[in-house]
Amino acid sequence: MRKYTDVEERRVRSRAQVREWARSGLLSASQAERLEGECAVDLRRTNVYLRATLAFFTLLIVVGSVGFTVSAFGLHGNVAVAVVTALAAILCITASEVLVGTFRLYRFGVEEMLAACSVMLLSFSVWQFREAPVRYGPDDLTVAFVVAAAGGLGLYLRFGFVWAALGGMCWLAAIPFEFSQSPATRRAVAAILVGVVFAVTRIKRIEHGEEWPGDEYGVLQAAALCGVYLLLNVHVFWWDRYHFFLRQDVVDGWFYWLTWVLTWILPAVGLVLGIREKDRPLLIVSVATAILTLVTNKPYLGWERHTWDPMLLGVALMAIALGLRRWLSSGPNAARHGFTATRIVVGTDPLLSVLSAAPLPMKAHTQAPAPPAPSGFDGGRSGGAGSGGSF
Amino acid sequence: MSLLADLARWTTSGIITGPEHDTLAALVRKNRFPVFNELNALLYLGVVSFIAGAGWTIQTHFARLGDLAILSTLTASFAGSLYYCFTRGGPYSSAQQESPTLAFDYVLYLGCLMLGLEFGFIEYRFHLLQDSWDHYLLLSALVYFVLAYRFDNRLVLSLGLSTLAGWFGFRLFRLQWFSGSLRADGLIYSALVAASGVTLYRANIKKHFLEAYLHVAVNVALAVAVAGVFDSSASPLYFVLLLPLGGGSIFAGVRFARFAFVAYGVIYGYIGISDAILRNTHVFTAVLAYIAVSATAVIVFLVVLARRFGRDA
Repeated sequence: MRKYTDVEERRVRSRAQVREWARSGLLSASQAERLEGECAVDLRRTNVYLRATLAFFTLLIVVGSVGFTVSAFGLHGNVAVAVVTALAAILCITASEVLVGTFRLYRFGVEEMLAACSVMLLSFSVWQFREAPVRYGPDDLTVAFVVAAAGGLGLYLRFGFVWAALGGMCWLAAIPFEFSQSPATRRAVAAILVGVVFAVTRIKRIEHGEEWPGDEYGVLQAAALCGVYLLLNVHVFWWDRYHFFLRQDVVDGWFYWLTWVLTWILPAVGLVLGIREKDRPLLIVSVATAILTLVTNKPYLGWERHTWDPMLLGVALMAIALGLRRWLSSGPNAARHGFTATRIVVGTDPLLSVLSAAPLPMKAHTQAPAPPAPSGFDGGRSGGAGSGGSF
Repeated sequence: MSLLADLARWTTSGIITGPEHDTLAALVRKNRFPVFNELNALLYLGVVSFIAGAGWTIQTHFARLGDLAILSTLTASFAGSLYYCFTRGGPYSSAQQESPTLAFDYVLYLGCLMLGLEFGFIEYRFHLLQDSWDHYLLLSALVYFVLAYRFDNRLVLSLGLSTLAGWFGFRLFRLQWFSGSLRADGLIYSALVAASGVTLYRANIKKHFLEAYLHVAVNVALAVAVAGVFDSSASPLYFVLLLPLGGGSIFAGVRFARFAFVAYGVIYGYIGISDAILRNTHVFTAVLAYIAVSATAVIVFLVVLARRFGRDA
């Protein structure tokens, strides 16, 4: 079903890994060049900045074209708009298929945005049909959300777009909030749905391990855990005064206390699994949710918040980081159970060079060997983001 | 075929040596699992959270705590962080330096933020500079720059750049940047930042800081030019300025393989040019047609660029 073969997917990752090792000084430039040749695939790729820009302008083309069609032909009414958007969705997905199949684009931005637009347009079309006089099915946006969720999954299965699966998961979680049940039921059903995603992706992750497609399942598994947590923590959107993310649902009684218990259990489970399996996405999500649990614990218990609470949290985070560093470094070979606080590999962070201009912890210092000097113009590499060049 | 099998094959064919195979295989098998970035992120979150709490506490309880207690605590924190950095850090070097400890960069960053907090408190309580309060920003920016270069700290450098932007009156968050004087300030700031970065680069002083300077300078300059184009009462020079700025950003981005600058040039340039073209167009259909056609033209340009200068995977 996938447009890309297993060999292509594995070689793309092997090549990325080789480049990371070369950047980290673990391989010489000549070795990396030979190994990259071994991992060559017939796919057209570009760097992350051009990818994002291409995606943005593709979105403009789709919006402009659909809007122009509706406006120029004076189409009014839900059915007419629904038909146009449905046709546009078919055109978009067809174009995406052609770009991948014929022109062999891989994460090029254009084919990704066309595929995303096809799902959004189809979902919008379904919603317009719902608003039309024919009327069908259940209330509000439910069917549109179902289409969006299924579309996201479909794009992932067809093209391997992990972001599409993540988007589909968000739409899936939104479906129960269209029901008229109690807030507790809506949250519980949404959490169960995303929990099923977690279970499925976890099974797949265990089955495939760290390498493709296990790496994709690892990201989806961590995202699903994060989703379950966010759906269950009733205080996590305390800052969202306009209820953009979740409705103003009053959750109380036993369910309220159950969610409080789960906000402690979920990060703990994630941490245990993440540490045991050395699963980085799961580890990061678990630590982030653990911090959120600390932040939202007082509102949960109805305790007064103090101005010095953030200071205590800050001290705790710094102490944990420094304590862990000290503990890991004092182990044999500066490691314990395989974990080490030493920087070994220099990863590819597409936002790193941009965020290095902001007061964020990006590349505060480089503790790895300097990357080999590039030979000439080599900025168009996917994932490399041109970071290997020099001014 | 798995990566481990690839490694074995590469060893057999002599591309990598046995010890290299063992090192890389240990990483693939996760026998060595670095958590360096995660610990850095925790430290950064800790510093930010601590500073937020300190600011909130001072603002809420300054009457009860007393000025002397607050000032002495903040001063001691700043002095303590400097003491730590001067005693633990190595001598100054113009080249890139490794951080002696994991906490080193964050101790300095915390100290600098404490200094900013102290300046803010002094003005809030004593109104020493009154209308010229922004000179605190200049003073703190200077301190940040000196410390950033002394200890090779990009966090503090970025803090210095943003504080300097504040001094120039470039207050994005107050949305006052559409007035003429602030736009001029923005352009001066941008030119100054870019010139400083390039000068220091050419003088071989912390050459790796250059990109941080240029990201800030290019974004500010292009944003100011676009804001000037948006303002119909402003001088048409802003449009004239936008074209070489955008084009220069694209050219330099391609020339030096820094594709973020290509994206800046394309996006800011597109927004500015589109505004100038569509300003007197009131037919919605025509606007939509323009968007579809112009975006297609940009895509073609970018695809040619990607094909010409990009490398296949």
